Amino acid sequence: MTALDQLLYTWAARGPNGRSGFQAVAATGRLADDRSKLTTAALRLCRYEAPRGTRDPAQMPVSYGWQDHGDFRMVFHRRYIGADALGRPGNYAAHVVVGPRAEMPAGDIARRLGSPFWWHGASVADYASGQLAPDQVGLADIPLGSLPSAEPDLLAGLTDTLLRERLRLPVVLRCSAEQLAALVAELADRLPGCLDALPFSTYEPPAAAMGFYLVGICGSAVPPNSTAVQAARPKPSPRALELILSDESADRNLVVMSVGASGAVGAPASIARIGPLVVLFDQLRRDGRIDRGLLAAGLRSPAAAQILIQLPNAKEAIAADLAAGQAQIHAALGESAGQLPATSLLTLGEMAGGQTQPARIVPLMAEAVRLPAPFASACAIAIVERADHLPGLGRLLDSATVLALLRHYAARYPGRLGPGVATVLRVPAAFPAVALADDLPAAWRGRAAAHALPGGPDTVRDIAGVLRGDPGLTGALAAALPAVRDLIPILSLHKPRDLVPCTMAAVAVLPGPDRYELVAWCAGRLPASQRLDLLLQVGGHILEAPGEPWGGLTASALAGWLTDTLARPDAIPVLPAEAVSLLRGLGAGRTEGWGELAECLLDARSPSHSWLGRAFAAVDAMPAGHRPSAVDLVLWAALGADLSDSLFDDLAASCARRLPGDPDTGAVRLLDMADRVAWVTGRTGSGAQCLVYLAGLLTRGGLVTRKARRLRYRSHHAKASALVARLSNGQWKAVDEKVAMLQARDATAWWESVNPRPTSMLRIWSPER
Amino acid sequence: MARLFARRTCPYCGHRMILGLCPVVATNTERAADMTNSGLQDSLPVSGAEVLGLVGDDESPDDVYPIVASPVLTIRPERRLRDLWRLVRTMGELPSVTSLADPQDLPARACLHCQHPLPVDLDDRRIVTIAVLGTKGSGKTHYLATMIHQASRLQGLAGVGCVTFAPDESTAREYQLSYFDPLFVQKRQLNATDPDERVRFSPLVYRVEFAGAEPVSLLFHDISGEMLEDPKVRARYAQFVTRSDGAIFLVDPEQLAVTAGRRQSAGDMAASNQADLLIGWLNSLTAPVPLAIAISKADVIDGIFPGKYAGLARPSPRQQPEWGEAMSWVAEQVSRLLEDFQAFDLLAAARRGGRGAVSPPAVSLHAVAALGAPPLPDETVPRILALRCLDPLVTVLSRIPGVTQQRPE
Repeated sequence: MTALDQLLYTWAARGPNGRSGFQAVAATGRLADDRSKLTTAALRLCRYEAPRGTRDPAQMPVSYGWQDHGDFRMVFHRRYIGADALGRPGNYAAHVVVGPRAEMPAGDIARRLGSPFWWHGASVADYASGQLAPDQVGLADIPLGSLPSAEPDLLAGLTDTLLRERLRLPVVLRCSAEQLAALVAELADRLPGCLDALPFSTYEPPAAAMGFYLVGICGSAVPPNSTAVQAARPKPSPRALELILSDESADRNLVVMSVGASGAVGAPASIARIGPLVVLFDQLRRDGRIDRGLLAAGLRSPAAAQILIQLPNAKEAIAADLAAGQAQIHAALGESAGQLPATSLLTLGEMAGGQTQPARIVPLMAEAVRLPAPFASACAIAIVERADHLPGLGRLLDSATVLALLRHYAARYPGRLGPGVATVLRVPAAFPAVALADDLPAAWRGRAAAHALPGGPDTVRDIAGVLRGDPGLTGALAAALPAVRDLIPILSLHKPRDLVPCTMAAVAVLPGPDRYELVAWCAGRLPASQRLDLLLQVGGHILEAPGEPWGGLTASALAGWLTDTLARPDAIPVLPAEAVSLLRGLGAGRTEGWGELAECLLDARSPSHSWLGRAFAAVDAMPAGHRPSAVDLVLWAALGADLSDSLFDDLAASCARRLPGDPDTGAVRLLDMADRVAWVTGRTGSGAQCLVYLAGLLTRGGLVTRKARRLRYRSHHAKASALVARLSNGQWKAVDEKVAMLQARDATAWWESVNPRPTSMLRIWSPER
Repeated sequence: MARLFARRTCPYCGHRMILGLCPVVATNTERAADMTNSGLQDSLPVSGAEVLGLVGDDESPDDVYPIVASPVLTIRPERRLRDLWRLVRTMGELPSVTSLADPQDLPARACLHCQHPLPVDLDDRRIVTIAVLGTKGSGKTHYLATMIHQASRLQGLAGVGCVTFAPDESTAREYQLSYFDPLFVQKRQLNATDPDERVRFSPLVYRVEFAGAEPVSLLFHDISGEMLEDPKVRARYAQFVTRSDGAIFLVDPEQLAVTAGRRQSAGDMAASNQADLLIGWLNSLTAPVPLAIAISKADVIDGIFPGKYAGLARPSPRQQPEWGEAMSWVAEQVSRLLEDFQAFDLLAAARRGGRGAVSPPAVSLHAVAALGAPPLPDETVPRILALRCLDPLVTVLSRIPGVTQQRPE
């Protein structure tokens, strides 16, 4: 038990500090420190204003009560004691006791009003001089006073006032201090804890009454904006009042339970909540029809709501009202839901969702989102689970509700695609909201889009837009569509750059024939240069389906890739390793010669006549359209190696045979490739051979020249000049000598025309000369 | 009407403020229905107007006021357009509080420094504070009650050109209930005044206008002697006495008689020297103000000096010039009386208080009797015969520039 601090205050002729006047004449503990805030607060309570019109000091009411200061409760006892030493009326004795709030309950304090403990202003001089000092006391050391029994009509009036919803404060009573204390003590017993936080005083002048909640008054003056208690039992008497005032132990227990359930901490609103709770629990006790208003009142208190949810009839009533959209119940649950355990909310949500009619789903979910997540989640899951049994859902749900339902369901059952979810996804409002909701499983989103597809061109355009933003969804959509041909119209709205990711997403889920159909369609939409990339990405899936005509598609893609590569002067025409692997995987005979050529090219380090034969045999096996590119590939491989002159001649002849058109075509091809080899690899041996070959060809008349000085096209002539410039001195000398040995005027003239260096100067400079 | 940027001094805390920056609070409030003990300050305006904030002392929950209109010169970001429009509409004039808030809330501007509603007259009237000083038991409360009775109810200043001397509504109610009814109706001695930390916020306000002078609001505070005698308490809760425009210092002749050894002290009561309070107050002033030193309880002097000062127990004439001549005679008598009481320190303080002050001399001497006779042992006052209670007030008012005549340019 904590010791309580005391302070005695009155008019002293000579106080502890030697001065006369109103002052604290004695204090203990914290209250002895006149600089402490607690002391200041206690001194504020040391005042007494006699009621107007009262002249007899014996009739002056005792002002007794309490007010809280933080965690401290300050109990005061103030009494008029007549005149001061100067003969002036208005002197009084104030006794303030301060202790922890928790240890000073309202009922216990009220019962100590008439206690002899309280100071009445005696021995002021002794206290002031220190000869007397207040003792250290606990609440138990303060004897109880004798109080009259609470007047029933006043008790009924006060209880009725406290139970009202809208109160004008403070609540004032015109009765004796003892009667008022008796009322508070009685009420504190009947409504335990409810009055504990309400500041109380048995008497206050009107100006000071606003600082209290329960206050007694004397005289005719009434504090402004206050509620005066009528000393009468209201007719007809409310059931709650009857139960609170009942002396039956069952009723008293019921009230105590209601108080506990209301969570009343002394605020008037909480006390007002007790009334409906008492009636509600009474109805539940009697298993009677539950009034919705009472139910709402009960739900507002978390503690009561928790009890109600555990009672089957109350729980069913609440769930039914929630499902039916009773705003009162929703609002009430909203007030307490934040403090309810998740299990209670789950139960309510599940029951509400399981009972709601299709037409009520949208408003129910709209209201559910204002409640804590467990309720909304359970509600949504219950609705989705039975969605396939709800008629007319398609025209009743809006997109927000569909999304809310699916999100809650996905949070609990990620990816589960039961009949309920499928039904919700079929709702027209699901598209495009669901398809765009990237927090939902892709399969659901794709299915929602697939269901929307029959909607017409606008829908197709919308879906295409969705896929453009989220290509990965194409797979889910493809899986949800009956055939790949339904997907193609959507993808056809894509630009080539958007096409590949979507196609790849779809390829992953499509069966073999559909996959081939989609890739072939897609390859046809792509530029030739990109087709090989597409096929290489599809790679693994191609090998899984040997039955499909992937070889032709691959060959075509390779040809396109090669054509594109060769169009760039600095590109290296070498088959990518992935392409070679793909060709190998497809197997011999299925690649229209490309597989054989690839194998051959892998051995290109030391070309031989037989190698050339195999390579050109592979070229010959290809469709005519692929051959020029394939020849270039062979040329690149061969010219990059050191060829003997005879092998070079064989190469040139083989090349010329397979290239359509005049001899210029083959020669120029050779020149081009030699130049590329020199440019890219820096190896110019084959370039020198090529120049000699061209000179010989000129001599033989195999090349059409113009004015016998250059090749037909200026670009070819420039390319030959560039090649000459790359030759080393030794190579140049060898070529020069070989050209000279030809003893052909055209060849010499051509050689000199392509030669950028003055021959004479070169000869002078050349160390060999 | 005042301008938006008009500056005023808070009569409670002395803070200088711009009226346009003061919020408007409701002084007619009710508590929120969900009041808890820790939230007593949940005051709501009775009109149900939106509460924009609270002004008040957290430790005095019954003195918290809801803000019902933001300061006119404040532009709130969330209501920029509305506030700008409100500011433009004023055309530079300060809107009245009743145009800014619901009149049923009894709106008033609030001082954000002392967190209290200001007198509504502050907009268009000069506030003049008259401090009534004296040690405990010197008769300040009775003097205030009688002086105001004569000035307001009996219009006793009409003879010196006062055309208006009327209380504001709350003062009228307070005066009626706390002073007039007990003293003049029930004929009972008034109670000793309790020390009250909030005394500065509960002045008696009178609207006063002398012919040819600007109207003013006179503020009187009924403060306990205990508070005045303690310099720390006086400095904290009663700053208005050091900022007052004039003062009436009541000297208790019975206490002087005890000090001079002409009477026995009541019991073991600690006596206090009245000159100490006067000197302390004078030292706290930043500038000299008109001061009237009045012997209170003039009716008991004849008992102390039988026959010598019998003239002080006679009432003053009510008209000039006889009134002025009588006051001069009384001042001379009081000066002698103080010498007889050997209160030379009081006289010296009085002379010092007038030094360097305004001309005519800033200190005057008076003798008053609020009741005319000591109360009977049963605390009743069967017949009230007030003597010269208006003299100190008239003298002080006439010496405050601009109150009784037009202020010199």
